[in-house]
Amino acid sequence: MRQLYFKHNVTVHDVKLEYKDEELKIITLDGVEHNISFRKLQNQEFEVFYNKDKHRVLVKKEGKKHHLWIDGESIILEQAERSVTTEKRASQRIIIAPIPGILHLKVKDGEQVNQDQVVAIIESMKMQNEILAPHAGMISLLCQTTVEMINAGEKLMEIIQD
Amino acid sequence: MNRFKKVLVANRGEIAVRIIRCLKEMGILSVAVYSDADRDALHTQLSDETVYIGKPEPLKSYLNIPGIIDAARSTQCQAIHPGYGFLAENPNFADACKYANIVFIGPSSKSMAVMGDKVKARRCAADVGVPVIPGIDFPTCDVEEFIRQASTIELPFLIKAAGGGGGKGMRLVRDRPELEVQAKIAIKEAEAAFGDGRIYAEKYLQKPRHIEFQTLSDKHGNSVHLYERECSVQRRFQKLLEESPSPAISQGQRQRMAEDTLKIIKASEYEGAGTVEFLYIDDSHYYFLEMNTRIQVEHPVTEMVTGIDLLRAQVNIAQNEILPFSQDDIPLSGHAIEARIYAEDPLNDFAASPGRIIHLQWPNGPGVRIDEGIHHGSDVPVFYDPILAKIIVHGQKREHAISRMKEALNQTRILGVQTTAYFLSKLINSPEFKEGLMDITLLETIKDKINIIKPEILPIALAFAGYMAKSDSPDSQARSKQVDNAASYNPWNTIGAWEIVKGAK
Repeated sequence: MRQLYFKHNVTVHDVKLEYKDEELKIITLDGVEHNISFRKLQNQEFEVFYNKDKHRVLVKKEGKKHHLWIDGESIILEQAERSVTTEKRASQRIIIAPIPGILHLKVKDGEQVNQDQVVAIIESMKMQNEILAPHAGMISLLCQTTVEMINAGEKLMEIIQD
Repeated sequence: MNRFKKVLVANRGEIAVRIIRCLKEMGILSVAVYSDADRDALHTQLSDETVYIGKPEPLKSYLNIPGIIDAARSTQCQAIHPGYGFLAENPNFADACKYANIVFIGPSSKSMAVMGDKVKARRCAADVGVPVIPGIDFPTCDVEEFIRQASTIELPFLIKAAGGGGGKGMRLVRDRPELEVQAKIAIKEAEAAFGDGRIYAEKYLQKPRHIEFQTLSDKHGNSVHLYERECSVQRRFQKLLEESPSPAISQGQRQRMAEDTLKIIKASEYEGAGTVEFLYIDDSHYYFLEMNTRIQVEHPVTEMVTGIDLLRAQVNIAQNEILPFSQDDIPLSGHAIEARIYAEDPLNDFAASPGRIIHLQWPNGPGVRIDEGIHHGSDVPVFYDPILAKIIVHGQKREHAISRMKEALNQTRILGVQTTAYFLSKLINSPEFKEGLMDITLLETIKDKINIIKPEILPIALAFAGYMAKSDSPDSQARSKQVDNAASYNPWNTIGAWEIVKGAK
């Protein structure tokens, strides 16, 4: 049996796979067993039977990210290493870039901010995305102030509560 | 005038590709320009020549007038096609082309300057008897003067910037007491965005439709319209679905609005392809909104129902040719719909989703057209508009076009970035859209109803991700060398790691 964790948006799910003779037998998702079977088609696509309904799936891996196309819906799952609790705790204090883009910092290192104050703007594809402080506190920058381009998931700053 | 031998395309993405393909068909050589962010972009791979024009930031490349003029000169181009966006509606660019003795494929800088100024365009329309949205049209940046003028308009109304659009400097006023504050903010925003703080006001229309008329005018005084497009499905003032004809207007109404459109075209001495936009409430209430002095993103729906290639017509008009058809020659056949595929995440409030295209498969079939700006492996940069491609379908009737579009969107597979494709497939299948009951607030009203991930999606996704991760195990890597290093790193292959994490609560 193998256990894996995958992050979808901010939630981490656990996946247990049980094999018998190289063949996938049981899939347990977040503690619940699911009846899923599939067969491989052309073009890296799969035909999936789940709860007796038929679905079409396409999967592509890029690093730890799994890009999936399922009946038109596309979702990204990222293989995670940490448990749910650690993820949550870290994300509350440290602000990470939700999308890639050009970073405009609106605060200085050591500055005191209020909740919902704009701490940064990430400009991406002609849109201005405001990053708000989740709570009041003192800013401790975790990124270079001279860097303009940032990637999604990069740490921007920590807000230290009094 | 001689025919063009070579034309520079001063744009990128799907419209640059569309123009280059049109030039190829016409036997004209094409020159693509590109920034550092677009070294491998599709438009640079299709053109006959390419010229590097600078850093990724638009101001240093696609908006750099001297750089683009130099590129056209050094490659001996006789004309420049600006596409849409970037320099397409910049009268200074049209003038710069003229001074360099290069034909600008578009209207004169004079009619561009008049129709590009919102207040002048309003007056132009009102002068020829076309209804304009009730309001005040003496723009000012003096708050007290503005308040004095605004006392005559009915509430609620919109404060708008005279210097530009896109929602900047636009404020909704519902009560008189909030007028002063809103006016001050609008002036500040307009100054910051356009360097021009002048504002004016227009009555706020409840739930209008957006209906626009396509026109073509040659340099010999001939103008025609090519019917309407309805573009009411929008968000953040950006269109997502367009169709022709509009499901809302009658034949008589089409005739009246088309006549009004041509009055504005004549009054502004317009040349080339242009679009007159209206806000439509009902057959007795419709108003001139603005004019776009360029080819538009949604031009293919008009091409599908009339059979006229608007890009080719633009080039021919710029070559001084006479329009080869009159109004009566232009058919309106069947129904066409366009869906804009943006690199945006509908499930995350349409946040930008730049990245690399790792899988790409377009739909196919009768009546399906793709205007694309990406290829497999394309980087979708953060610097530019998020449009990736447009899917356009044609059917005998609106319902046929709708089912054809739904199928086309469901066939589309784009991985690597999030896109609007599946969202639009659900939207087009909504009862509101199917019955043609839309206005510009539709998307906002139904987006939460549409934006629901079906419950079976996540379990299937997790099961597959788990299955794919399994194929990274040491045995399968030995069997297949194709797995790259980054993909093959799997912390769960090292025994016991997750137990440590489990303990660290």
